[in-house]
Amino acid sequence: MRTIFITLAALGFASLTFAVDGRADSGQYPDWSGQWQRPQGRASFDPSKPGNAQQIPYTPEIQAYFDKVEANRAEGGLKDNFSTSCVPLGMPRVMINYEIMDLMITPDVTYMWFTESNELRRIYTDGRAWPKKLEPSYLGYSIGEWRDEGHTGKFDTLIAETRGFRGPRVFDSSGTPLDRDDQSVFKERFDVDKADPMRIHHQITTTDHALTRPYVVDRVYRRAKKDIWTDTICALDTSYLILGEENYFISADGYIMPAKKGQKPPDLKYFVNSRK
Amino acid sequence: MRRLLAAVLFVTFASNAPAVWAHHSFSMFDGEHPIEIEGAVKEFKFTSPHSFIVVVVPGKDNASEIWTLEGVSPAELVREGWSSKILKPGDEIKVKLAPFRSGVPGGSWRAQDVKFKDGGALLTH
Repeated sequence: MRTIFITLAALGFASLTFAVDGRADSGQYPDWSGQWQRPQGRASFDPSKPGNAQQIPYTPEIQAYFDKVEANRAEGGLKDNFSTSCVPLGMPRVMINYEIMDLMITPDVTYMWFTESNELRRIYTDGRAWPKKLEPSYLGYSIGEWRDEGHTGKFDTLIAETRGFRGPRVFDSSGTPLDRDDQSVFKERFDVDKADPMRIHHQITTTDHALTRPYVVDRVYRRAKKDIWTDTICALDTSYLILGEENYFISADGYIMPAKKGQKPPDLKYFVNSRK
Repeated sequence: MRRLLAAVLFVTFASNAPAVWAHHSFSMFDGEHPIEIEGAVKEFKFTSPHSFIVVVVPGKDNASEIWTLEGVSPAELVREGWSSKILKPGDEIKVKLAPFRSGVPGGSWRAQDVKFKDGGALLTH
């Protein structure tokens, strides 16, 4: 993934240098390049509220489902936390930005690389229309537009809309669901803090059949004080084992551990010599 | 029966619970009833999405038990002043942790809750 990203970066910088096709010149774009982090400890989707009190405007049917998810969590379960099995975070959860978001802006595309889940988001800003058919994906398909809202002659705001999903996806690690019909639409606004260029404001509005109304959340990303590079190999480094609806933990010495009090071991019916 | 080297700490969830809302969710850990263990580092995994410290905890009759301790991501640890070299095998440490709800030897920890056995902090700011 890193190699791909470096290649994309090279292509992007090349297009910055030679953009002479009538669109805005590269000098009009903000310098948001580099690594960005969420404020420390704010790993819920709506960082203004505790993780277990997100106040998502769910329909009664979805709220009843989520109540069951929460009951499972209280026992030590991991129901609907799909990333435990290394499933991509997808939209909108990826925007929590658990570790690092690397930004790169070109006239045609803004790239967002999320190191924690090795996901690369592309927001197309080349004026394209929506494709007639969208191939569903966890991150969806994003079309954006740069604006000069401060009338300074330079772009300061990125507006984006994202559609075309596959799932399952959730808002955050607590298993807060989106509708399984994957018809979500996200409208986003990114703009830098006028008083602090080290902060980017991000407003994301979710429209989804799981919700009774559009759900608006404001987030902030801070420029990382120093570069952080870590390999993320989820399949190699995870210590979780998910079998059906049950989750277990793999100990450092290679044994399956129960995650819940009194949890039964998995069914070993195909192991002829399994211990009784 | 495992032997803990320190008593259970009756302290509040708010001041001691490890990061509950993370990549995997930490629902299998009991942040309301933290405990403290002491032992020798067997391995420090500076891995993403979550880091791990494997600790050998001495028990009765020269027996020992391997504790698997899950922490936050390397990026968060770096912000706390940690690096992949901050712990090495054999380091004697004590860790305040949220134990598994199931009672097996392991739990989750925060950077500020890991100290050398002599009380020295690991933070390197």
